[in-house]
Amino acid sequence: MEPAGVSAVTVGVTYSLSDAQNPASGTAPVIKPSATGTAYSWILLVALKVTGTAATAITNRKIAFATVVASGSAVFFADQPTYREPATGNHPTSSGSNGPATPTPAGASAPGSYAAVTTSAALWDATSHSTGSLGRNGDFIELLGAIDHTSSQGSGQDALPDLDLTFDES
Amino acid sequence: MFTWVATFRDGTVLREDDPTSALCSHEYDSHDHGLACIKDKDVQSLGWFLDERLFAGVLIPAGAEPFLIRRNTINLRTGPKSMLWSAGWKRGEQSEYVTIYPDYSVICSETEP
Repeated sequence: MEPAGVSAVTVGVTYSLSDAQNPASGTAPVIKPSATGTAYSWILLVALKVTGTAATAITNRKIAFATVVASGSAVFFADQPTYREPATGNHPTSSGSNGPATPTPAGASAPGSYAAVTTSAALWDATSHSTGSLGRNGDFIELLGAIDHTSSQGSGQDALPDLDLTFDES
Repeated sequence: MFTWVATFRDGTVLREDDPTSALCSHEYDSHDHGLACIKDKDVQSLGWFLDERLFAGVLIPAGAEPFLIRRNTINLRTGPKSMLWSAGWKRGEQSEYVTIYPDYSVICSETEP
C-alpha cells in the first residue's frame, strides 16, 4: 500500500540497502565491488506532490543531474506507475561488469528497463494530470544508486550530483 | 518581472496583474489561476509588459489554441530552482511559441515546447 509521501525537497535521498529515505552513513550501505562489477542500492520512489491546488495541469515530468556524475557512480531511473515498497525482493542483482552497468529490473511490478540519469532532462511521465487535487501528481520515478569497481570513492558516503525534476504547468 | 498580456479579438486587453478586469474577476486572480483563462480561443495575441513597455508576443491564428506553460525545476537538495515561461499557440501538428527566460531573453521556436 502506498504510504503518505515524505518531502524530499531540500532533504534529498540517500541510496542504501534499506527502505529509509536518508539512513546514516554506514547504515545498510551499498558496498563497492572488490573486483570488476557494479553494485546497486534498493529502489527509491520519488514523485511530484501537489501541496496547494490550482486550475492547471502538470505534464512533461523530466529528471536530470544538475552536474556531471563522477566516473564509477550512477543513478538509474524508470517510470513507475505502481507503488512498490523498496525491499530485497526488488533489488537488482549485482552486475559482473563495470560501467556502472545498467541494472536488470527485479520483482513484481518492475519497470521494463532502467536508464542512466544524465545532465540532459529525460522524460519519465508525460501524462497530463490536474493540479486541482492534493497529493501525488503522475507516476513515480523509480531510482537506483549504482557504484562500480572503478569508482575512486573511499569509505563513507558518495556525494552524488543534485537531481533536478522539471515539469510543465499550464 | 515581466507581466503577460493577452489581446482578444474584440479589442479587450487583459493584463495578468489586473485582477479588476471583468475577464479576470472569476478565475484570473493570480499567476496560477490565470493560466486557464488564456486558453480562450478569442485571444488574438500574447505578449508581455516589461518596465511598462509592451513587447510584441505571439499572434494567434483564428481558431488556434493559445497556451501559457510554466516550466518549473525543483532541485531535490536546494528546492525550487528556476521557472521559465513559454507562450504560443497550437493547432493540429502546427505550433509556434516563445520562451522567456529569467533574464528576459526570448527564444522563439516552431516546435512544441
